[in-house]
Amino acid sequence: MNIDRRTFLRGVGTAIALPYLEIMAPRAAIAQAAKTPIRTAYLFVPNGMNMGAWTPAETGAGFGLTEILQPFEPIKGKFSVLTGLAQMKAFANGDGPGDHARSAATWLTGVQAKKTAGSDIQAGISADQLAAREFGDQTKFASLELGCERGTLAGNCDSGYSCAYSSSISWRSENTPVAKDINPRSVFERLFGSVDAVGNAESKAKRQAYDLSILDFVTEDAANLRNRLGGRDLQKMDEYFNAVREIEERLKKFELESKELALQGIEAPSGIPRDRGEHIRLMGDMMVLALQSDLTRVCTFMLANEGSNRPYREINLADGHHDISHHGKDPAKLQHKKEIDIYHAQQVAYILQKMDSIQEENGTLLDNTMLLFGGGISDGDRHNHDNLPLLLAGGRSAGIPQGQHLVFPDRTPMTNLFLTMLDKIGADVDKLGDSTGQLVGLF
Amino acid sequence: MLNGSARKLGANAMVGLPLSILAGMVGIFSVLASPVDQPSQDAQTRKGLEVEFKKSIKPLVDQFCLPCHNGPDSPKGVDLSQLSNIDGIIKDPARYEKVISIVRSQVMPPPSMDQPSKDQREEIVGWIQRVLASQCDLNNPGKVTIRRLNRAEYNNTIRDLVGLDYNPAKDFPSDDIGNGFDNIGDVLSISPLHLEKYMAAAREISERAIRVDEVKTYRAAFDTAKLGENSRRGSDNEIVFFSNDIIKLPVDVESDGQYMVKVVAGADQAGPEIAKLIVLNGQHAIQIIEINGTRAKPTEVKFPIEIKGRSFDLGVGFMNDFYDPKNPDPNKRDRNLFVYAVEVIGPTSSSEPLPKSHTEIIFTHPSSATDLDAPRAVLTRLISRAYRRPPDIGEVDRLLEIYKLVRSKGDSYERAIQVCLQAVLVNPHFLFRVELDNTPKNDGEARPLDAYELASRLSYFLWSSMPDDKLFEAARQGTILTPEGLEAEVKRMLANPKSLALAENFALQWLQVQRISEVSPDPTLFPRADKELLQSMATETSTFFNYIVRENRPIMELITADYTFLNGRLAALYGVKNVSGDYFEKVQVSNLPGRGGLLGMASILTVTSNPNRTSPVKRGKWVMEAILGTPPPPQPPNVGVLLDSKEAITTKNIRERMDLHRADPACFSCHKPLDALGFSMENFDAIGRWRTMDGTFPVDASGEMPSGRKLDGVADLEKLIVDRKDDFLQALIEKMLTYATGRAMTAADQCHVDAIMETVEKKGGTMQDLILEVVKSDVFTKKGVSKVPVK
Repeated sequence: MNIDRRTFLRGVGTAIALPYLEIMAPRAAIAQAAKTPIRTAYLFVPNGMNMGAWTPAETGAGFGLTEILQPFEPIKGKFSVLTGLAQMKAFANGDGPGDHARSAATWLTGVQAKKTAGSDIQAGISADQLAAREFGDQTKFASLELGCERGTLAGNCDSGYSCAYSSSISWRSENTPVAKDINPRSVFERLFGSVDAVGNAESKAKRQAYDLSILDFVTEDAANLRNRLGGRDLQKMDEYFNAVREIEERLKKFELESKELALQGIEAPSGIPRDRGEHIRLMGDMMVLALQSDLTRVCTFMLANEGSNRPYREINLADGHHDISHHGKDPAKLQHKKEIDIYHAQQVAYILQKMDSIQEENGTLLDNTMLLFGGGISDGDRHNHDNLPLLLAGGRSAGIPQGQHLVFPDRTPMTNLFLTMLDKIGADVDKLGDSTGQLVGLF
Repeated sequence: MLNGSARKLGANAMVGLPLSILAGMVGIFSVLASPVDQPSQDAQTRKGLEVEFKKSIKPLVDQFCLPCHNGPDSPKGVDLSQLSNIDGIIKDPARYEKVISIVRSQVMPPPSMDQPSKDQREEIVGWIQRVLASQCDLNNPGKVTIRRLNRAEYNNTIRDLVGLDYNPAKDFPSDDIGNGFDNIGDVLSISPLHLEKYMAAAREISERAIRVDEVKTYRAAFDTAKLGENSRRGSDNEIVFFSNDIIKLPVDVESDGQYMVKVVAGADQAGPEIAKLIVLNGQHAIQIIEINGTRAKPTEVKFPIEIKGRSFDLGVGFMNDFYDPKNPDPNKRDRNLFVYAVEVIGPTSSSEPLPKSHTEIIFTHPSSATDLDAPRAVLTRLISRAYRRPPDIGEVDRLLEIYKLVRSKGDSYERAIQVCLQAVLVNPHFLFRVELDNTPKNDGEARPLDAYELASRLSYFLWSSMPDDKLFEAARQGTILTPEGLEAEVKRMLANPKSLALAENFALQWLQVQRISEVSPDPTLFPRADKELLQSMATETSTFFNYIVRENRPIMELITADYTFLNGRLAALYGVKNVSGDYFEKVQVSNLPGRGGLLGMASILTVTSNPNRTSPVKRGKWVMEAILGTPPPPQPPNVGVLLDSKEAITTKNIRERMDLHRADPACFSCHKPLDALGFSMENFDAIGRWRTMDGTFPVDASGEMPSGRKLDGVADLEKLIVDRKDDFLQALIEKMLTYATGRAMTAADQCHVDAIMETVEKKGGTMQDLILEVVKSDVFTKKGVSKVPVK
């Protein structure tokens, strides 16, 4: 079965024309939600950026679009470029090489990742998970983690750092990276239920009762195990315990209602496209669907894993991305790096435009979403983590300034931006990683 | 003696102290050590370390470290004036492993200070490592964090538990790699996404494994009907036939067998005949029925149908249209048919045999709805297999509660067992390989594994799956706890085809061949390197490794074999005639330069190449990492890179371009061995074909190691590895222990590695000797117990 992507998208456009509240929000949430919720999304790209082709020459409003920013022309005025922010904890700080692994682990946590190849991985709770912790109980999914690449299959990922670091930006606790989904079909089925999940109300109610009894059963065993384990085992059992609890809550509150979503006209995507651009756009579609339907308000999306060495044949680049990013100032490699950066920007621009085309009560979906796009490495050859390439889109309803090139003092903690973003959605967070306070100059 | 080991020190900048660095050295102690003279041996060791510190280490530390790291106010609290205190180092291995990493990776001293030479750094690092390794205790097995089943293990376990082999873990999140393997307990985390996938997989597996022949009503959905020219949807959602027509209703049942069709229909009766309904199974008419009912009072008719193939179109039609516009009674002018509902009910009897999984799980049936003996027997067996141990007290009863709940809702025995299976498959005792901590007196105390725990460790090591019936029996009888019993099981298990898992999961990760699915050679340069060829390359390696294991060949044959395993595609790539088809056969390749053994395998040569050219550096790094166990330090950022432009490629060969790069002394010290090792494999191109020319340049496969040893071609590389056999064995043992236990090996494990190596070499050095010694070691058969916190 090979479903044409366009068919699928057409379906999406027509079927979900209703405001999110009427069609999908659980009743409890409808009662509570006085206004359109503000969502947050974080889109990550690896291996730095060709900064010469990224950073605008002018500051403030009315800056000119650089080559990499050119794809965002259609929504100019709906995003700002942030210059000068840094993740200082991604630098070695005595830990030696491993900038790729560190930059991903630090990107949303602001914490120095513990250097370990296997035992005892440790970073910090990430900005998205702080939001999920605060508001996750109001939507079916506390948060959604997306990506395009599985973790690598063998060997070391980066200089003695476990591969968990370079394939995760979202950390549920300091020891637990949140697994991400890379198959659009699988995301779709999680969001909307499997296509063949039919059945009458009676059998659905039974099934729910059985599922809840199963979760009770395993919770009890997990609790017993916690009394008979120590050390790191205990922590693994906690991970299990928390995961069960989240699924249980979801089942109790949301499962019956979501099954009513017959989703007529929407066909599930068929799997992982070979073409990376299509893959990114399709995952973006899933993210947009989830945000639009208020199935979640928090999303992270790794367009590729940190240090990824995938060749971009789609734009005729035979060398791997990581190899290219070590350009050594070679003009040919810098050119290739720029081409990859533009390619990624084009896909992100597609997602932003799509969000901006969806009308909600209070502006477009983009207006109601703070979406941060960028990476944890500035120059791929230097591996520096200051002056990071970052673009903050949307968020107009939250009062995010748009259409500006904002330059912050050198090495301003990026975590200050997270504090501000969290504040905008009403999450009470005083400190995140190396933050020193809310971002001065953003408002 | 101590300094003899310094040859390797400094080769590695990894944290966690890979053991192979210490190769040979601690072995010297353990060879000499006997229980009787143990104390004096320890004392001698310590004395030696103290003497060495005063003589060679202290001057270096004084010069390079103490200017800052001296006294209680040292930066980051690292007071290196305490380095002479050997006990202090031993008490805080984590801190000193970090010191090692920092010194070796040249992070310290800071650039503004005096820099020690590479050899001086190695001296400091080597001494600290020897202090740490002097603590190695053969009775301390180390701590293994409980391991969640990874994707491969989950698939295999489901295959062996319920008999379904369909890759149920396909959509699970990937398992992160730690220490080179995807089965490391600390790294295998669990998030809500995992649990969601486990729930969904458990449901699908239980529904596939156990068939529930509940009588179900499948109501045909009229909105999916294919209407004809003379039919339409009526206002009450009925189907109106205003003239002769047949419509098709798609029906999809869960199993084949005898069903009943129920149709509710009415008619506008007119003319001499009663309105007739025709029903078709696909193309074949199965019933023609007179519908006596009216629109106000429709008729309900029922008749049997046999369904084959689960999905079909049920045809429903109107046969005898009548129209007489002249009839004086307007109600008698027009005959029409109205169909209100079509249902398929059943199966009344199933024609499909029950799946094998069904009859194996449900081996007995209750005599009545309240009989709990049968479900108890079924669930007891299920739990003992799924949890890989006999049930605890009350465990079956708790699962029976779910059984009772399902029965109380009116569902069948089979359905209830199905839900119980689902519950078992998301239970932590199934998803994790639990080894309880019990109640140790002291944190860090070791205990021998019990027979079932040991059986699980063994089966997941050798098969990446659960124990089979024979292994369970050996655990039940306790024979597995004796050395002979354990050995017998290992031999039996390695002979089983399931031992291919050791090759596919251990060997392919150790050799980094699993990355073959991530590489993509440039299709314009290497059009034949499609997915199929790449997969064949990996299969060559796993088949070869599996052969060495099952045939109990000498370990060194991994390097020196004069044979390999080829299918038609690989044979063509290697230039071997008379091999065709997909089947892999053993082929003598002594007449082909470079082939035979791992070093001439296309899989390895391809994963260590760039998409468009070979990479001697990556190949050299692979040899140092995987084969010699001395990984080079990582590439520092912001260093020069190889000129790779079109112009560079056409005007200079790769060696000339690399020589330019190496001219920088900062690069030279690391690159010398890397390049020599990598260049020796230059006769293989980026997808492993033999060549004598690289573009327009003749291949130059020569190089010189830092020791002065000259290499020219892969045959010399093979000789070098044979000469450094101990390094190779060290590396392999360390990797195998890591994989077998699911934890990182540290300096304190060195004596285990040495003990294994010594015995293996004494016994003759075959692959099964190695596997047996790994399995018999305390690291494998014991568990370091953690204290359970008081709640």
